[in-house]
Amino acid sequence: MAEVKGNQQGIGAPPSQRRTFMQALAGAGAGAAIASVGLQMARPERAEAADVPPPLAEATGEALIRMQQDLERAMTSGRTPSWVMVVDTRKCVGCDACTVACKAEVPTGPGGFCRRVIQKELPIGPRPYAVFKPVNCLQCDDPPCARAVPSGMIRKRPDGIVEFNHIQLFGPYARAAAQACPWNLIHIDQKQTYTQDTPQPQAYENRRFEEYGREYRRQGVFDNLFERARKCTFCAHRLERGVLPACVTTCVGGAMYFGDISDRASLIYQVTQGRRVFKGHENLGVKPRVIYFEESMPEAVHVDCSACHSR
Amino acid sequence: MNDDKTREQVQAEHKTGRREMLAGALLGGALLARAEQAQAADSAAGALKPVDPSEYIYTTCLQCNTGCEIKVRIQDGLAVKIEGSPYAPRPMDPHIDWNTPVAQAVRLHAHFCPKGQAGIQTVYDPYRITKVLKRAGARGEGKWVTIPFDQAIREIVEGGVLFPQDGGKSVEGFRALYALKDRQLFADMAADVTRIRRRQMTVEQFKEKYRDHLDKLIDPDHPDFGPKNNQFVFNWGRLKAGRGDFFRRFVQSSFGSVNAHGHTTVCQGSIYFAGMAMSDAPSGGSWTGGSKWYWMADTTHAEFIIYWGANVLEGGYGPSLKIPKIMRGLASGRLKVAVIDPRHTKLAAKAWRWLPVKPGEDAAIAMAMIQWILENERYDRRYLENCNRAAATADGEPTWSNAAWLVKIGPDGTPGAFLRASEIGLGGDADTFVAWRNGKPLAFRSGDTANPAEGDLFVDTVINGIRVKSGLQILREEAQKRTIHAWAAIAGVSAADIIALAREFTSHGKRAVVEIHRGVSQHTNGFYNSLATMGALNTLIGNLDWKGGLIYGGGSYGETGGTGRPFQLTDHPAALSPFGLDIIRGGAVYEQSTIFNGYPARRPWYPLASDVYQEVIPSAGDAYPYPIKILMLYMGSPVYALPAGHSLIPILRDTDKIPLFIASDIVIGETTMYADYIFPDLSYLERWEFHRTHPSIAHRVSPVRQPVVPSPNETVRVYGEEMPISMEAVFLAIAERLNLPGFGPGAFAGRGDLKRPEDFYLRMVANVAYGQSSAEICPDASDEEMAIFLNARKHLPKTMFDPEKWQGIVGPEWWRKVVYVLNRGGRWQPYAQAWTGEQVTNKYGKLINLYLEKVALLRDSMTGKPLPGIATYLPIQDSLGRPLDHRGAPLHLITNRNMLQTKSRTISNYWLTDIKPENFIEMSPRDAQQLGLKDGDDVFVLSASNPDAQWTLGHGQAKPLRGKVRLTSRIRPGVVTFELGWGHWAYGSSVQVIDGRAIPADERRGRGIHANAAMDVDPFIRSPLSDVVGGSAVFYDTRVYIVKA
Repeated sequence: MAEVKGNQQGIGAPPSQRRTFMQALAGAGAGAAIASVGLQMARPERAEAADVPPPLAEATGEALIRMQQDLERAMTSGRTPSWVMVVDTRKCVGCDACTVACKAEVPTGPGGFCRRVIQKELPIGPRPYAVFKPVNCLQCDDPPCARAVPSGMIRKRPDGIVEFNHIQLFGPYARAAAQACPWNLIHIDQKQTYTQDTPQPQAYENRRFEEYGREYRRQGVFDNLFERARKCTFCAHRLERGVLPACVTTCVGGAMYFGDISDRASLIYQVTQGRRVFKGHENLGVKPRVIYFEESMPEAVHVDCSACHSR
Repeated sequence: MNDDKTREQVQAEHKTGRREMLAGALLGGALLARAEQAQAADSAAGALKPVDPSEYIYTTCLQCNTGCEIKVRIQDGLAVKIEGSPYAPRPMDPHIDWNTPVAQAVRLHAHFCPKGQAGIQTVYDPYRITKVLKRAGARGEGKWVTIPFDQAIREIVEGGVLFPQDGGKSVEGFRALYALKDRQLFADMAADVTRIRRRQMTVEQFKEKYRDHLDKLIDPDHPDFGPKNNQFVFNWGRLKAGRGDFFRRFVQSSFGSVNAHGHTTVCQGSIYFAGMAMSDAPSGGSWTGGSKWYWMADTTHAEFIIYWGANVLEGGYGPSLKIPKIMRGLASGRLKVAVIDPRHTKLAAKAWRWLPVKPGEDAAIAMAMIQWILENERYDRRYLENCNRAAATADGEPTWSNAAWLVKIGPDGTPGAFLRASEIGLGGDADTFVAWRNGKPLAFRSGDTANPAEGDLFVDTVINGIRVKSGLQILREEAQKRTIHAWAAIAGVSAADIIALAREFTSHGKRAVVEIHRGVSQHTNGFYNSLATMGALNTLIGNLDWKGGLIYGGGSYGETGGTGRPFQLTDHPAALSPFGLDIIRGGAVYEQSTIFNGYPARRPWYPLASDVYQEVIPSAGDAYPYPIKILMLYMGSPVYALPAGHSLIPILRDTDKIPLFIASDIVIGETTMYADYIFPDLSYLERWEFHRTHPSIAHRVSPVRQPVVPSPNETVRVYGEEMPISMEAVFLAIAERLNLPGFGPGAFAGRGDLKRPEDFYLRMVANVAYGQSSAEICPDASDEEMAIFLNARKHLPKTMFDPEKWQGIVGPEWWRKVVYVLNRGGRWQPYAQAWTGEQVTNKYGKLINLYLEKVALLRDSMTGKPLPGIATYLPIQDSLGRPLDHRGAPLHLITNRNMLQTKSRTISNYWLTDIKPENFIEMSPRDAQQLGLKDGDDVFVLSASNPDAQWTLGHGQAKPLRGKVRLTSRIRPGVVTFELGWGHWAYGSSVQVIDGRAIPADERRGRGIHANAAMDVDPFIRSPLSDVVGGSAVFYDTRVYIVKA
């Protein structure tokens, strides 16, 4: 029997599988009995509007492999990559796998998140509606946090990552940076751990980890990050090893894309071409590097930033 | 390999130009310009920093029952980060070639859910116990002393006055129960008990024959109780293969007890046992018993899936496996879904239709759909007419049903057994059945490969004075008992929606599926709900084994042995065959027992089920059918996990009803807090296991769980071998003390010793290395891979990793192949091989029962009435078939999964509770307004079964059923729900005293509400309400009052 290719005509067309199913029946020796199958092959309804961008081709595993290869190419090409992260919120299921993966990858304390998933129930008219919106530092090209502190404390890397100078940016400066972020995506590390007040504080909470090229331990004597500003770093320590960011690989919905936008052969470039994006973050002129596709963010949600971002 | 466009097609579509025009919203332009500016500014390093493959060990997660394959990064001897493994289908779709060198795959990480990511905190839990605890007060009082392992083993084996505080009471240990030891006697007695059941032998004759051995029986007047060995009951919660085979070897083959029980009925019991009944095959005039398994959707290819009582974006085996396929399918348009659930689940938010069914009324929707499909002739006629394998094969169908088989109808109109050809003079044996074709009866055999038999679908006639109907005719009559509108009214949904679903379901050929889960099965009518939905609806379109249809799963690689495999784990010098009734009366027929005493039976009998979790302890409490002496509980918390689990607490506390209660756990949990002894176990990152598969995994898979980090448990010595305390160590030590055959030196009947866990598990890994045939034997690990293997385990102590010893266990021929498997964490069928043409490769491939003769010939042990043999609508009822009395409680209580917690064991994961510290009583604004409640109000949950609204824990301790209200429009008015996993009262959330020292509690672990204690206690059996046919423990049929605190 022929391998079935599946639905290749896009939205609204009858599934090509139907014809191949019939062919399969014929091939199986049913002869003229096809008509007696009795199953009505109606056209499936499509409720969405026609103005929806084309589907993304890859299975999620193929997308991961492709992005990982794109990453290796970007890191070994000799050019400076320009990192962009894309969130296809149509596929986010609000599971918080990324939130936990981020926390496990780069230790932070109770209440301190470099990545969160905002979940809002927003009745649209009579219908219940839910929005799931993963958020982390947007690595703005014109970051408000940098404007709020003396120059040199926050640096915009050529590859797009916003880098904090943990030696200088501490205490009141760290807090100023945190308060300057319009979306509350920076938190201050208070050196607390989850098991510190339990019968047996656990060693994994004090493990070595890298941030902005240096090694720290959250409760180390000299190498802690007490009173430092913490935020998403696009997993720079993974990128330089050719490994995609933790939220990108772990995403159960396959909603995450990441790569070098200046590489036109990359998946990140291809998925972003011609797509409508959510403009809520663009409006303040920060030039974000985290992009949200617009389809699942209807107008009613756009109205008020505080719908998702109340402090 | 995937059904979507090629890359070229996508690019072509992007270039249509239409999209380019959207001003201001375009991504590419502005960002690209900035990127190109940045190019000039800096020179980047041109090399990647290395990633050392020996930083990772591949294993299998156990933060839920999905069992995703993972790789764990080790740093300074600690597990610090867990990733999904790219080698396997659960985390990766499509998964990579198994032969990919480990060094090459090291940078590729795959999907992985939040609980999985938090698994490190299950392992590194401040409340883990690492030494044996013995209770120092009364049961559940929370006072313990640590004792040496050897002392604990001696005490539980030899028994005696183990608890002076209990006032001189002597407890029988394992030695006293190890009464019957002789293999031949076991076999002879077992055969004669069968004769007693068949009325071929009397009890008196039995007693005379075995007069020298009557003292070995539980009760000589009831030989069908079996030997005293049966009074050792082993009950488990989360247990998979490998470990399961090890434990059952002890309990059954070596110790000889019939009582090895799992927890199936707290999960989806009735689905499994409906599946078992549906997969039954005729043999010798009877039925072979079927397989305890079920079916789910081929998510990769389906075009339309009805997720019915299945919260698939939160659970359902499992997130990484299904969600990527579903979300991609929805985004690309390949897949459309409908959701039937009282809640507007996350999937309902993305579905084409949501039917807010009243809990428990699922069969009403199914009956309406079946009626519409039959009336409009939208079923697969050709599939349903096939009566046997030959007819199916001629049509290219891998399966066939008994829709057209003729069933005898009794004088009162009740369908009974199938008609046999011999009954109407057509000859044949006891397995020759009859269909109706061309105006006359047609004899056939189900498995016949040469003579195709097809039958008319709707038959109601008389042959030689015998009234008969076809199976499909019987189903139609069930469906037509009410109009579609009447069914819709019962279910509380619209008839138009039901018809729309039925039309859509029959519009995709075989690429449509009904996939069900607990929402369908955990009701008193769960068995019949499952037959109506997973069974009848899918059978009507004949989608079994088809791409995009209903699949059975791809199975595993024969880990325990079989033809060609290097090791047979069942090798045993003197394996006993346990016999006698088990404590839950599973697989047993009440009328055949020596304690038959009319109806109702004292407690339900479960001829069609096993692993009835909610029966083990209550049956011990009633000493029915007999009293037990030792209860051993492994990785389970029935008090917490079961609905109405509080009804078990008085029994567990009673040292007469359960004289010795031994537990294996990693913390002091909600159930193990009542134990006499708690032996610390290994966490999932410290041990061996073989997780196998699920129905929804089309590939053949064998994930391996292997030690990743050192265990904190005390090291002990058994059979001269040093190892951390574990459940294996406990069984080995008991076996050593009792000199049980099948353990220790010569355990594998001259083919090896079983002195330490690796003796068992490494042999299983070698079997995985073998594959399905000698053509699939895996390569040897290269020198590079051997170096990675050894380096990755440098941090493990010799008590958990000893490469020389390991090599000695499997031998030089298999050692490097075992390393090959362990380096990857298992073995999985190549991606493309799961489908062959239009069908799955690993098929169910046989008869599916629409009509169930075996069921129809059974009687309900409580009402005495014959069981219906086909999908039917049954109202919710108690064990005596009476309506439930909820004393006017207005709100229907259900529960639901949140992906952040799994049953009882993830409250220790602080990363998860940081995201969601507590759960809520969730209700609709309409209900809240009627009750005068606001969002955030403190409330109690009361029911007729629990008017005190509390968990009564003993010793004056109680945990109130108290929580906070959260309003949501995403639930059917009249229904309230709470998420499972919070509301703990042990597990580190309460003080325990160990060696006189009070271990402080962590209040973060006690937040939220666990309202299982409000759920129905069956008024007759005084234990959790159950489906007495399929065994499911009932979560969703209770009504409650919500009262402001």
